[in-house]
Amino acid sequence: MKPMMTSFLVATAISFALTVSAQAKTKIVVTYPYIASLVGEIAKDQASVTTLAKGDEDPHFVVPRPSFIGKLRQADLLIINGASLEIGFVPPLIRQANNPKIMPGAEGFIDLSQFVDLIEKPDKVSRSEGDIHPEGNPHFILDWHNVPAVARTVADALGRADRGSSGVYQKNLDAFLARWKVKSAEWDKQAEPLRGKAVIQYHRLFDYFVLRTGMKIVGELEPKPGIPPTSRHLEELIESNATGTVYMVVTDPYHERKSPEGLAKKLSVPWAVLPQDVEAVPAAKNIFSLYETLLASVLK
Amino acid sequence: MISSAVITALLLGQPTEGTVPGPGATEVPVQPAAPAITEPIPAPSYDDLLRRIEALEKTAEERTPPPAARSTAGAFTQNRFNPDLSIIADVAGVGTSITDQTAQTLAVPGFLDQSDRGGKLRGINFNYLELAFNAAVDPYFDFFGVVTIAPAEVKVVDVEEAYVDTRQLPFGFQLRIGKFLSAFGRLNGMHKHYWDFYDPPLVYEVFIGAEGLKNPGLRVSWTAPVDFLLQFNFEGYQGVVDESPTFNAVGYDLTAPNGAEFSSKAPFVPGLYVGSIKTSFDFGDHVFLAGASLMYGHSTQTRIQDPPTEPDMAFSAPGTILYNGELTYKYLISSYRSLTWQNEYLGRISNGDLAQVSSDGISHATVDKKQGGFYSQLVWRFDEPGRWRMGARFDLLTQNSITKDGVAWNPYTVNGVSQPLHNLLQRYTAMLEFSPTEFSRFRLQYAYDRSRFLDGVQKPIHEVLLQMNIAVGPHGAHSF
Repeated sequence: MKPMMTSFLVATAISFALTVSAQAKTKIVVTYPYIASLVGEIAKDQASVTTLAKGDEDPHFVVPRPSFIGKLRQADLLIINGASLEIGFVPPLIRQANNPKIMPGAEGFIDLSQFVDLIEKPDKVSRSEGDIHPEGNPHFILDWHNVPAVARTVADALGRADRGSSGVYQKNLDAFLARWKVKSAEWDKQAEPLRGKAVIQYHRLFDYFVLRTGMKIVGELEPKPGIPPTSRHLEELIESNATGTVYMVVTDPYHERKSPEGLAKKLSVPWAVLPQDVEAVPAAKNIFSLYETLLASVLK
Repeated sequence: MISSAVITALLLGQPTEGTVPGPGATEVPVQPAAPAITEPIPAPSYDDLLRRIEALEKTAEERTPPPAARSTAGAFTQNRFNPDLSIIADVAGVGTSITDQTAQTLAVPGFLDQSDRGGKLRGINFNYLELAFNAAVDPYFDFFGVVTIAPAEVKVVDVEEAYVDTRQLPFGFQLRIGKFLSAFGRLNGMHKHYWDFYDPPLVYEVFIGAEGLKNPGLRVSWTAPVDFLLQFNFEGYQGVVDESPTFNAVGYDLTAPNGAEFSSKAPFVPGLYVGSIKTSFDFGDHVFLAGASLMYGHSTQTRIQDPPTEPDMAFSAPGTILYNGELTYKYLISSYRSLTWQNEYLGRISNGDLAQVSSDGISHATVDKKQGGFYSQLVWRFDEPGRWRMGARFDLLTQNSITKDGVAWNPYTVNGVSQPLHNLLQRYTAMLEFSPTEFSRFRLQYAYDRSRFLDGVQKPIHEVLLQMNIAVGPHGAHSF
């Protein structure tokens, strides 16, 4: 009886210890895969990360699955892109998660858009202009020079949520930034031949990437943000861009392909599906290969 | 002001040919440079740039006027603390196969003596203008309020909801205090404009009322710390509900032609309690949501007419139960397309005293009700940008068992004669919806309703309507 009792106690103690150590891991919920990739670079295996959206989903239209509520309920940290990109799905989830740690205003709620400079801030906002973001264009992550500021923010938030490991996070951040410096320089160099080239995009999605590479945007397939392309608008795009002036038509993985393909054909230019996030296309596996894939797609 | 923009543009916006924005550029914000990138300016030398900056700074200093006295009128304005305000408006054109006058006398025998035709009058119905507010009260509470300015003919302003939610309670608890929609079932807690059809399912109409159960009260909710959804709600309400077919919690007085009188004791308040459990799992892109709810309270139902066409009666049943089971399956086909199959069963168990007026005075009897029904609906969001949806709904009342002193009986009488009890009362609804954006929506709906009776005879109704709903202001949440 006695050895059985002892082994039972030992087993209980072990399972309890395992539970505690599992709980001790900082639980992080992020909205998009690129944030998960950055958290992975900085936390390594010190944190468990849950990503709400999938990379190939339209980031504006992520379905608020009720199971997200349970995940947010347990989170120590919620990291969002911000600038209203998540406005349609995160607020109701937070309201139902009953978790004061990640309420807006709490230390565990991180809005990355506040740590970078946003472009295209509208002077006036009206819904007659379509689905505009009053804070500016929210797709800032597509400029690789915005990544260090975002990485620092993530490391800082992780360090505050898990003070015991803040040294490790700092070390991992430094290593990441060093790698990033080298990579950024490579990408800057790779982008040189793109300078001055004109692209047409589906939605105002790739503006940061286009500006970084020195290209310019000469139009969108959407007549206004969030409004699907009309044949009249496409004709206007063709008229205002004489053959030869446009370098490429680019689109994202989740919109229909017919209109960009048709437009590219009419203009006799190539078209490409660019990843707007990590895991948006199979090649964009992490935050590094995201930019490699972006550049490779427009350099061909 | 101007000069600083120019400087930034000159410094950052014009990388010369062959100049790589090196490691130092890491911190450089892209924003101010944006407009300048495309303009062809000849590349100046570094010294050249410095000279130009100095010159511009000097001019800027010279040009800066001394600070003028500013108006202090706005010193205490606090506009920026104003809550978010949304406006929702709803209008519908309706055609029905029966006149409005006849429609209002339609009964769902054993469930409703009269039909609420709000929003379904022939012609154009202005249904409501809704003002929704929300803001944080302080670090401890969030406030939500919905004020409805309802149809022109009624001219009422109704505080549909006004409540606070706690922000800081630990261990997954949240407290809601105020007047709010109950978490009973899947649809009750949703505002009308989130519904998939124009009108509520038949079971909601006959057991809860077309407006849903909303009442002053308190809710404690607890979310379990698990990776799926597991949520428990417990609600306590005052229990005095206007126009609810089950819970009114009002006292009543009956007077018989021979002068006999009966006054009921008003139910104890607060006296309405709701418990519910909800859970949800995902298997990849297949999402399941299930729940069970129970509402417990004192049911009172009266038929007191002036002048009486049918004998007055009043029913009082403490300990009445409304119960609900819900199951929703959603298949997320792509970012924009989805298929949703939603089902709810509602039932009522009620046992109490019936006071009935007759020429001899007031008689009392024990009445026992076991009633129930369900709806099942399928909604398909089928086009790529997600603007179109179509759906179908089937309503069926499956159980309608009422006994008076142990004998089958129907409170629905025609010329004083109790009518036969019907179950399997049904309605078929189909809709097609077009939403130009998330903020406006058109819905075409057709219904074939076989649940209504006129003077004891079944009266099938055809209804066609075109609804427009708009939402102005802050971006609302996408519904699941």
